[in-house]
Amino acid sequence: MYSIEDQVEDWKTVFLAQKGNSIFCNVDDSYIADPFNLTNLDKDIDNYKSALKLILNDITLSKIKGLHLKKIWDSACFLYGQIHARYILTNDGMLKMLDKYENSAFGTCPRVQCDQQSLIPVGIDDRVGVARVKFYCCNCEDVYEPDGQCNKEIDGAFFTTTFPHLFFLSFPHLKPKTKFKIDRYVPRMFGYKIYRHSKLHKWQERERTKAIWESISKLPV
Amino acid sequence: MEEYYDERADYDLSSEASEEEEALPWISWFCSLSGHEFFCQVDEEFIDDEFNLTGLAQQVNYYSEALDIILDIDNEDSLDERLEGSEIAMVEMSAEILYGLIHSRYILTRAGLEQMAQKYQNAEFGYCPRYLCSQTKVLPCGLTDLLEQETVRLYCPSCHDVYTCSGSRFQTVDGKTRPIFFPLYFSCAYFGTTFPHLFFDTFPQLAPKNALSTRNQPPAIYTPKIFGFGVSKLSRISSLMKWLRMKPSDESAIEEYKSTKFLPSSNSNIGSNNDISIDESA
Repeated sequence: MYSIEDQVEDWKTVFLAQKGNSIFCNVDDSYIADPFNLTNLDKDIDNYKSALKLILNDITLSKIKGLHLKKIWDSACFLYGQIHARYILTNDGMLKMLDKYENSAFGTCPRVQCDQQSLIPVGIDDRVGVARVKFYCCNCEDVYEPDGQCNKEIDGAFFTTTFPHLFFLSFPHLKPKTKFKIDRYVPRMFGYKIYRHSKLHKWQERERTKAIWESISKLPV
Repeated sequence: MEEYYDERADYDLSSEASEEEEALPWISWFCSLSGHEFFCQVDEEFIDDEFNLTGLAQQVNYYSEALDIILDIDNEDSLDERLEGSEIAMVEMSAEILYGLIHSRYILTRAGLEQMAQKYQNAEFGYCPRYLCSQTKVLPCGLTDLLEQETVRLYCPSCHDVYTCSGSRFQTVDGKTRPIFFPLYFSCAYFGTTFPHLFFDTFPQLAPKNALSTRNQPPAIYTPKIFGFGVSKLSRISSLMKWLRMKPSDESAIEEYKSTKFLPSSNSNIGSNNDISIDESA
C-alpha cells in the first residue's frame, strides 16, 4: 500500500483497489472539493487538512514523513468513508451504486428461498464506531452479516441506515414483485410437517393477512 | 485399536505422507479431509450391520466394492485385477456417495446424534448469517432426501429458516479464526431433511431460548428507517415480509398463538386424495 508505484496513482484508485474495499463507490472529485458537502466533518478527524489533500491528490504519499504516513492514511480512509456516506444519498452516488448492485457486487442473499437476490450494504447505526457494515436483502427485507469477500472491518456508518431504503424508493422497479406469494421453508420430519412449526406458521400467516388488510383499509379512496 | 494408533503416531515423525494415509482407517481419513468438516465418523459396527444398509445397493453403483473401501477390507489387489484404472476412480466416487447415504441414516441414531451434538457445541457448522439472530449456531440440513438434487443447506433454530453455505465463511475455534470451505458440492441427501428437527427434539437444551415465542421481549425484526423515520405502510417500499420473522411476544399474542389450531389446508387434502386414487387405479 505504500510502495513507489502507488504514489503515481490516484489515491482513490489505490484505496478502492484494496482488498475488501470494492463495496465503496468512487466519489466524484468535484463533490469532495465543494466545502459545503464537508460541513462539520473537520470536527472529529485528526489531520483533517492533510487527509483531504491526500484524497484530492494535492500532496503525494512521498511528501509525508514516515511516522505521519500511517496516521494520515487512516484519517484519509475515515474521511473518505464519511464523505461516501453523504455522497451515496445524492443522485450521482445512487446511480453509481445502482451499477454495482446490478452486477451483484455486494453479494447475494444467503436465504435459500430468496434465490440469489442481490444484496445492498446498510448500516445499523449512523454514528461512527457503533456497528460494522451489514447487507440488506430487498426480497426478505432482512439484514445479513457480510460473507468472506467483503472487508468486515468497514464501519456501517459509511453506508448509513437510510441508503438501501432511499435506493429502492428511487428505483422501485428493482423490488421483486413476488411479495404476495408465501415462499418459505417448511420443516419436515420423515416427510411429515411438525406440529409446533406449523402452528407458528399458521399464526404468522394470520398476522400477515392482518397487516395486508390494515394497509388496504388505510388507502385513500 | 489402541496399538494401531500407537503405530501411527510413530509414523508421523519418520515416514512419508503416503504411508500415513494408508495407516489411517478410510472413515477417519475421509472425515479429516478439508471441506469434510460436517461429517461425523460413522461407527464401523453400524455399517457392519446389513439391516442398516437396506435399499442402498440400488442407489449406488459398485456397491460391494465401495463398501469394502469404507470398511478397509483388504482386497485391494483383487480390486486392481478386476477393474480398470478409470473404474477405480468411479468406485472411489461411489464410496463417497455410499458413505454419505449411510451417514444420513447414522446421524438419526442415538450415537450419531450425540456425535453431532458435540460438533454443534463446538460450532463446527458455523453461525446464522442473519444479523438479528446474533450468532445462533446452525445445523446442516437437506431440502430433499434425493441424491443429486441440491447441495447441503444450513438450518437456523432461531429464525427457522434455511441458508446456503457460503464458500468462505470464517469460524473461530480455540480463539483462532480460520476460513472453512464448506462442502459446496455435497448432496443434501447426506444429511437429510429430518436431522435438524430430530436433533432439537432430542436435545431441547441446545435449542435457543425463545425459539417459538419471545415473552416480554421485543421481536427481533428489522425495521427500515429513512433519515431516522419509519417507512409508511402505504409506501412503495413498505415492509411486507415482517410476518416471516414474527413470533408471539406479548400476552394477548401468546394466547392467540396457543389457541391456533393447525389444520391441514384443503388444497393439500385434495392433492393427497388424488395421489391415492391414482395409486389404486394403477
